[in-house]
Amino acid sequence: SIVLHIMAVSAVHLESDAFLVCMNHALSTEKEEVMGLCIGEVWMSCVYEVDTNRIVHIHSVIILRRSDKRKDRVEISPEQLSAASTEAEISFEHRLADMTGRPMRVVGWYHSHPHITVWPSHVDVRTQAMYQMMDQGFVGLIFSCFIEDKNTKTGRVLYTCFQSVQAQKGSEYERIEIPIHVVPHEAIGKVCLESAVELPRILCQEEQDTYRRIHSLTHLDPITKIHNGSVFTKNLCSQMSAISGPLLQWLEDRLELNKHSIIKLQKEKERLTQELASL
Amino acid sequence: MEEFNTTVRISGFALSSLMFHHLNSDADVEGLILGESVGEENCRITDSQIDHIQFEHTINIQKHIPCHKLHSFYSNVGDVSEEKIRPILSDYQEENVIGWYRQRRNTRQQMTFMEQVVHQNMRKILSNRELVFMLLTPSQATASGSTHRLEFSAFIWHSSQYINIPIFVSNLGNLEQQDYWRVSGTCPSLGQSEAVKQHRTQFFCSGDELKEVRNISSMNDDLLGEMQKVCKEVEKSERAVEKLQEDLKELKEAIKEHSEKNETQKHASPDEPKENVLLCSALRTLFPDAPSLQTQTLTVQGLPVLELCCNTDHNVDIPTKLPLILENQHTRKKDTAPRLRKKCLVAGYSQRLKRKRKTNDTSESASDSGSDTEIEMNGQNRSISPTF
Repeated sequence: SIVLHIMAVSAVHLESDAFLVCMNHALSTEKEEVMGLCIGEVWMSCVYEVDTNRIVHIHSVIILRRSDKRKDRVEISPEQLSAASTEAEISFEHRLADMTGRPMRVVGWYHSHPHITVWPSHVDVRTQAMYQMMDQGFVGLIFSCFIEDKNTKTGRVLYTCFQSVQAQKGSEYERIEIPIHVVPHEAIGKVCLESAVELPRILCQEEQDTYRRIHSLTHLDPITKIHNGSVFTKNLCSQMSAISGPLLQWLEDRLELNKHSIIKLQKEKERLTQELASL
Repeated sequence: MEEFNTTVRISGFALSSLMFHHLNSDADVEGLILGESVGEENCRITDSQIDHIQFEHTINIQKHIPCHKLHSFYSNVGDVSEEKIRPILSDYQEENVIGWYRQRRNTRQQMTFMEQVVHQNMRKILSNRELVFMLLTPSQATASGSTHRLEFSAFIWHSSQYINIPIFVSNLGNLEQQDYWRVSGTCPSLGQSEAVKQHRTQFFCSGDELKEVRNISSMNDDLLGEMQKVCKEVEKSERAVEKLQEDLKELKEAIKEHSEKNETQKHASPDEPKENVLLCSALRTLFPDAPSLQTQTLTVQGLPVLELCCNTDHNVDIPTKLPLILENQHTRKKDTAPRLRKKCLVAGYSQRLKRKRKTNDTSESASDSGSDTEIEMNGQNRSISPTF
């Protein structure tokens, strides 16, 4: 009889433009954890029908809205993640198809650990384990930022990839390390760009929802309402200053850079075309 | 008393963009940093005699310009030239250059000697005393490759030394987010006061909506719309760059194929030696009646194969290309032993050699080539073996 050893994921390949979006998201706030979904495909290679090698290829990410926001460090429960990913798959189905026409799907999740160690907490490991029950190849990524070494005055950012494993039935879940490589992808993909500019829109929507809920309370007097109105203004201004502004700046700079690249590449193309013609 | 208090700020997007630049390269990368420097003087008098003047200096990193290759703006010894910086900056102003950066893997957060030299030269050229050097050093944190680390900091030259300055990543979280009031104060008088009722319309639109909320929402919506537009343009430009890079790759491959084909055509039969056209013409001129000298093939024993003679007229202009031949021709017309020469041609090489030894004791030089042997046997003293 042939025994199939289905190994856990052997490695994760994260395209650099997807990494860019994750990093943008993780660095957007140091006050709370942010999360999102990883979109891609799983490549499997079977060696002698015994060992299965699974490589998870992440092409892009989707930024998720936090359904309940608390000021302290919020753990992302499996239910939250499940609800968010179902919503994402429905809303973003049209975006999930790759440019090459290959169907993409949710292959993992990522979240940030601001001011906290990169290793997953017990809750993180449990959340990951729940998802792995539905999909063995599901992987978790964590981005740790806003860490500073007070002695050397050096800033630090870390990222890790993990899955969960249960030593024995009934025992605690533990994390296992999954090697992750960031694969070069010089041009930024369409889905990645669209995901990147989702962030300010999501933040704005969250703020509007919070404000409307408060504003609809009937017992508030006009002074309170005026105060809340200015809080809304202040919060939106913070978003424009910290997120929309710098993001717009980066987009404009990227456009400039590409325009210069196009001119250079065009000249090179003309030169090579002439060279080929003369041969 | 002056205190040095400088902070460097960068947005998360600019920092991610820097990381993105390095992730797409196998080697070290470097580039220029643009932004602005904002200084503020805070004068604090702690007691009546001493003034503590605190300079608070904020350097805002707004964007970076990646260099396509290393050593773009400095030489191998670290000399920086303005002419080299100009093209990198293109449309940007030199005044906006607030520093430069370098990213190198698996190295320490310490400036190398070369980096220090380049930095000093940059300070001279750009006349910016507060120039910043940003160093990013990614490395692997675990042996399995599951965890990676990036360290970053800024260096500034101050008081004859390099000072390490932390980089502050500006984000939404460090801006105080105010809380909404969920309950009003318990004084109905405020809600019903005449003053409040009178001024209400200045704050509220028809209905219950606040003017302020409507205005800021509308401005934010327009800003997001603008961002969407730029995003679409960026997407188009990314695809254009990708397409051009593909085209270049195809062109390079086509050129390579073409030149490889040409090379193989040139060396069609590499084993066959090319005909020595000059030698053939010389022999024909010198020995017009000796067809065996025009053969290119000898048997194993060294006998010329007369059937494989070269019959092509190579159209070599003898007076220009082989003037010495004509001199020799002239002399040889006075030759007195043509018969002996003919005999030698028919005989084998070994026999020729024997004869050479017999008759050429006085000859100055001996050569191994058949034709030379013939000439010497004619009793010529002068060595007129042509050198090819």
